[in-house]
Amino acid sequence: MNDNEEFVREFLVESAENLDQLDRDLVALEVNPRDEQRLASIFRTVHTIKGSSGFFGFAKLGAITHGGEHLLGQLRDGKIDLDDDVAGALLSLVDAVRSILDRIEKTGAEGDDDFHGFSQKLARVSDEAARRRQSDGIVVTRMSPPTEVSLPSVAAESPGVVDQPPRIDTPAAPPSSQAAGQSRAQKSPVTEQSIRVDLGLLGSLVDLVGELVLARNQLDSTVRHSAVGQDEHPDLLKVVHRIDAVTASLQAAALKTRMQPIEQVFSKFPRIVRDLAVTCGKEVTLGIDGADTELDRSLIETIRDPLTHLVRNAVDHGIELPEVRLARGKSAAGKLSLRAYHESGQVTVEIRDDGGGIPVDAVRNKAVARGLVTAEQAAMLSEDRVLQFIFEPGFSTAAKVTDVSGRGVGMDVVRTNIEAIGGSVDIASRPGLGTIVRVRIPLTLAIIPALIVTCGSHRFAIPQAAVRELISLRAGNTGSAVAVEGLEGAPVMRLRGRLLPLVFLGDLFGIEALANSAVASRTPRGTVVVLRIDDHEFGLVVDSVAVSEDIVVKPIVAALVALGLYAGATVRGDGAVVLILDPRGIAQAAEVPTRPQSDGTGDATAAEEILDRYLVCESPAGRLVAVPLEDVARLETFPRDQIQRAAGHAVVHRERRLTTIADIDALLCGTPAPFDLPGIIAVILTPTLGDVGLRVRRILEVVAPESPINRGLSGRGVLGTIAVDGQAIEVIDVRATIPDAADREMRQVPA
Amino acid sequence: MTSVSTAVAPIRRVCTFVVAGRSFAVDAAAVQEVFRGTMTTPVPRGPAAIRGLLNLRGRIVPAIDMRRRLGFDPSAVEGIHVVLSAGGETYSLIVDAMADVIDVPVMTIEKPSAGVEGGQRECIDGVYAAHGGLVHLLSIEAIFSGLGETATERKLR
Repeated sequence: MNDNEEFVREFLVESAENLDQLDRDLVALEVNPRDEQRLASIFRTVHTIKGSSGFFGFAKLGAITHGGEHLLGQLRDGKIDLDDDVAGALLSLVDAVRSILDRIEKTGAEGDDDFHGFSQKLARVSDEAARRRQSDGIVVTRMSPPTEVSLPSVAAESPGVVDQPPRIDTPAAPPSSQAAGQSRAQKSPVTEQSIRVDLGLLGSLVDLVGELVLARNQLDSTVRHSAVGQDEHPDLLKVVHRIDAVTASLQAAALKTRMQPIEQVFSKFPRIVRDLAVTCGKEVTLGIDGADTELDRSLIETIRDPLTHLVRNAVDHGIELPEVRLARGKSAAGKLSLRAYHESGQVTVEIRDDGGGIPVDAVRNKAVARGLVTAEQAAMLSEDRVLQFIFEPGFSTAAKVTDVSGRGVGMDVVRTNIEAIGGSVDIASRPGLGTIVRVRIPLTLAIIPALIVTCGSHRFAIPQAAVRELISLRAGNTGSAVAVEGLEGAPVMRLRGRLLPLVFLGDLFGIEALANSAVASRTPRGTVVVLRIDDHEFGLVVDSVAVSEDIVVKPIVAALVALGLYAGATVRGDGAVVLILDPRGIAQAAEVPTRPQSDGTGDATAAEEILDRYLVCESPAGRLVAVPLEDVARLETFPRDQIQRAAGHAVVHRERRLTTIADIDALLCGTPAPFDLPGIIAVILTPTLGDVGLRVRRILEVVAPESPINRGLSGRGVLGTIAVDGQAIEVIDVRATIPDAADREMRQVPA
Repeated sequence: MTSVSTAVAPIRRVCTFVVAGRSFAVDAAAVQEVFRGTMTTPVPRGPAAIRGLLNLRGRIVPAIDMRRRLGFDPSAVEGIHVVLSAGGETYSLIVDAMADVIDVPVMTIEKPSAGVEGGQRECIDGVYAAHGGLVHLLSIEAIFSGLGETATERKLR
């Protein structure tokens, strides 16, 4: 058998691929039983496995594939229908074949498992289906003339296994060891253009290219900085350029060898969903989009389990039973869609179901029961925030533990695994409408473009994928972009009508840096690197941006990964180690206000861009109000002793001017709130409105409401209402809050 | 110190060094290389005992300041790097000076005295007498694993 080993291995690899294809084809055939081409392809695949098993002397494999072939033959000839029983039998055939192949791979033999019963079952299913067909009394009419499954050059009924050859026109070819190879050649000539390469070999190739990139960077900077070299060897620079170009191409090519379509993961899902739906008694239509999206092979392996878990969750917990769905006015069959696409250097995988959504109240109660928050706190939390609890370890709201999921070990593991590879998981859910989970994964982990920034005497790398734009804070550029001290010492900056939270890297890291929040409002310095994480942005203020270059990501020890601030480290051209910042970790460490995915509706992002944005805050008396963002200049805090009373208004001195602090509560209900806090937080309005600030208790978030402002309820200093997460919030008419507003606008004090 | 004595009485081959005037030792088998001070890149908000990261022929290796790790006053001295691997991770220990590599009969190693505390209590797992003084045997795993629990990191959460 030794000579055969090579062929057997070939057969195993080949068959594994074919079985995956079978899974997909069978599920697809179930949906569209009249797809004759697919049926023919299924038949061919089973036939090929049967032929090869005969050649290698795998009798059990031969016997069960023969049974399957018979069943498929009946199906093809229109003697039976593809009903649940038949489909189930065919899928279990795939499983049985797979288990035998596994055994062969491990032990070299078929093993002792008895498949006799299974073969009988196949035969029984075939007979019963035929009987059903007859008793239905349906006249068999074929949609088209019977297509012969043509196997022009494929060998061979293998002698010994076949006792009842199915009706296929097959040239009687001699048993051939090339059966598998030939059928493959026929299936897709492309495969002949490829070879199988050991993954370890590919890995070390990419590692070596990484080293080469570093050496190239080193060479580059050495040559640039040594005038001597250039004078003595005028060609040196040319050579360096050439090496530079070749290295870049080599790097791209090497990385490409590791890229694989996400299809590798997705292809298992039709079968998983189908089986699960049957188990749960549900109806599910699965839609897959973007299966050809490519990402690094190592990542494919990592996301397989988390994605499978999410898909299982969607079917088991998300999609309702058909009767429930019908009662809710939905179609009986739930829709589960998987979509993968590239987005700013990342791959996003979206798992969307139109099921019952996550019961927010159940999550809230569970969070309280588990002591994660107090009941009071829980009541205050937004729905999106509450949903985040499902990522807590051991958190499950499933009332009963099913075979499928609901053991409470799930979402936390999903998130941990995805975050371990630098990805992220977001969830949005609306009761009754469904759930969307978005998984974002980096394309590759090996070599990434990055910005090298300086902060004091330190240098850091920031992955380019997260960088949206760079803004200089130096004087002269500050006309439109002014950094100021904001809420509780949290600086913000106004950028095209939005408030951008700022994080001063020097302050965060305790580094003496040029750009720091202490001087920011007076003499702004440095560069704002606008970083985007999920759907929110923040500005990281650094001293300067040195250069943008490709860096080789190197791992750092667990103790440093645990800090959550660094994604790894790299070696610069000069040999120095530079830490790679993890934008997400930075945002978390700096407690940048974040807001999860606003909602799940398809074109929300486009709509959001055109809708106005509002700053939602809580008035001193605890009332939720919104202020149009275009009227807001910045946030400031004042200690209580700075507040004075003048002409019946609270005023504060700032920058040698008096700013009136307007009272929202007095405006809305006539009762001013008492000054009971050590300091006040004020939303300072744009200078064109005069020196006016609105006193608030706290700032909640900047929102883009789902629909435009409803002006039906205006009056009493209220412009109208906006809907935020299903809650109506009054929009303040800031002009009404301003004492003698019109008056002030007229005689604007020159600054 | 001969192979004969090795067979008769089990010994531990250790590499000894000096930190803050006292003698310490680690298992010699874990030591990969020793070299004089080199440039390190500091890790902001990292464990206090990590002086920085060094580039060891393309590998990123954190350097542990053993004075800090063992609770002594930091020194301005650049120090000597002793690169160690254990449990799949590689660190460099920055020590004041290297001493020598010696074989210590296991039976002469005693339990550390109860008096020490902090980083020393965590790391020292044995003591033996040599050079007219005590040499403290350090557990490499303990040196590495205790890193994450420094005040700096706690502050971060």
